[in-house]
Amino acid sequence: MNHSDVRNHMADYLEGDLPLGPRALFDAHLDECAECAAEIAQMRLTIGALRRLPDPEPPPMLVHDVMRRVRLGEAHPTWVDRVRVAFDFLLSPRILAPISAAAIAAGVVMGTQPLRDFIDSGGVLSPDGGGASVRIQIAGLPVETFGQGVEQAPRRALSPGAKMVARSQMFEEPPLRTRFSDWTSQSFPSAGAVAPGIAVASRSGPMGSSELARGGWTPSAYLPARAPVTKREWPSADEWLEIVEERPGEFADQMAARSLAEREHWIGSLSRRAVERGRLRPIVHSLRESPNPLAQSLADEMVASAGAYGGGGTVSAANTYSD
Amino acid sequence: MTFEMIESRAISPAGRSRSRRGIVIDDPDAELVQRWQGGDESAFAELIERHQQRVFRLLMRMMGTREEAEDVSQEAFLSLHRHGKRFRAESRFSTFVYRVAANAALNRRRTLGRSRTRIQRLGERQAAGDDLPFAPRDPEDATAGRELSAHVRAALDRLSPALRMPVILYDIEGLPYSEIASVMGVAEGTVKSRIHRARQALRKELQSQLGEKAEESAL
Repeated sequence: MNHSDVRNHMADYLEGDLPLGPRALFDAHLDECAECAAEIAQMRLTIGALRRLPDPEPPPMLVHDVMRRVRLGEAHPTWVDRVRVAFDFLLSPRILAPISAAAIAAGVVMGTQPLRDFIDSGGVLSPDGGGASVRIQIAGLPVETFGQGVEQAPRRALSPGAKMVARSQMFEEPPLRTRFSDWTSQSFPSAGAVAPGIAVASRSGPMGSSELARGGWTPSAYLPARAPVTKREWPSADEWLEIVEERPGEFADQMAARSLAEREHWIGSLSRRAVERGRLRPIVHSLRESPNPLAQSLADEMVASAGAYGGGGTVSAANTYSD
Repeated sequence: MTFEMIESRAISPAGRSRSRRGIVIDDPDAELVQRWQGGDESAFAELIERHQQRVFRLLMRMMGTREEAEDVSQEAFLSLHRHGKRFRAESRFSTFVYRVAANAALNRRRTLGRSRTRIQRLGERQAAGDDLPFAPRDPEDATAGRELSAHVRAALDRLSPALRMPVILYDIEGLPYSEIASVMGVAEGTVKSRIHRARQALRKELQSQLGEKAEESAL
């Protein structure tokens, strides 16, 4: 038996599957060949090291967590859920950040060209204001570099003392509660306005009552601060507590369409507010009384979440919440 | 690598089933599977309870970190719930569970593969031995054992999934070649050769550590 034969039969030899005759020849080769003997010894040590790897224990709540997700319907996602997951991926910073950077770069290049032309022309303004207004579009946000708002005087003659003013800085009065960010920055800290006048919509934020009624939510990336949208479009956190208490089934239906992370965010925020208002008990009771099985599960989650905000109670055998 | 996930035979009421090749399979899970397929969700909870240890062990070694293994374990059991009602007992239910877990692991590895920095971070954590808590059987050998185990885990993680899966299932989980072939959807001969190639690759990766061990044992 030579080196090549040894390599070909090594697996069988190590497993003890080599018949007696070839095995004797194999052993004879190992007695003579230190290189092959060392390789076999190392293979045995490798197998031994693999078999001595310690056994990790599964997480203690694995069964509970899986069954909870099964009850929430996550084992059988609808095509809507799949589309949503795909969109979440497209909206992730990994994808969105390079696109935004490219858009900003393109906007700056396109926006500064007329300014260069204006400077190259000697900076003389024509009476009709031609070329005086330079507009830069950055990620959907209009920014005026000269003069006043675009909608008021798009091509107006400028005085020599005109300053560069970002449109977003023109609104001196505090913005109305007209945006997702206005609401969520107060009640849902994970979302918020990135700058005065610039709103970033968050899918974690609550739905408007009209959207609640039609069962959907349309992200609105930017709403002008002066847009005639009233505060009533967005229920306050306290109003949401009323919705959960009065219409637990409807609330549960809405939660069923959310991802697990969104649901946890909602439950956490509402639990905190319910504890602050001392309304946890009736809300949990209302959810438990609902025939909707998801509402009952949400009640458990609210009780668990409330513990973190000092509202920890117990769930009795009668399946009711007590402080 | 793709694994076929659909079985094609029904379980008999007695918990024994006959496969396509006419082999009668005694499956300890047959009764629970029947109850679950009949709509009893508590039976599914019992099945998770029964299989969570081995699924988690496999995923821990496939994924390399406890955090990933916990995530993928949940995904694997959700996937089992999704596809398990099509299980027709051509093999043991435990084999089917392994197959679903293996698919979940491979899907997650593909996702991870898109993020190179994350893979690097996992590798660093494994090399540092941060992620896999273990208790050496011999306290005197604790330090050396911990170090070698960390190296073995890191070396395992550097193997391709096609080699890592069979060596984990054979050398760590103790499955026979036939069951591994069924889990992976390849021939037994392929399983055997992949195990050998995986061991060889591990031996080369661990050569320096094993050399010291060999010298110690020689003394």
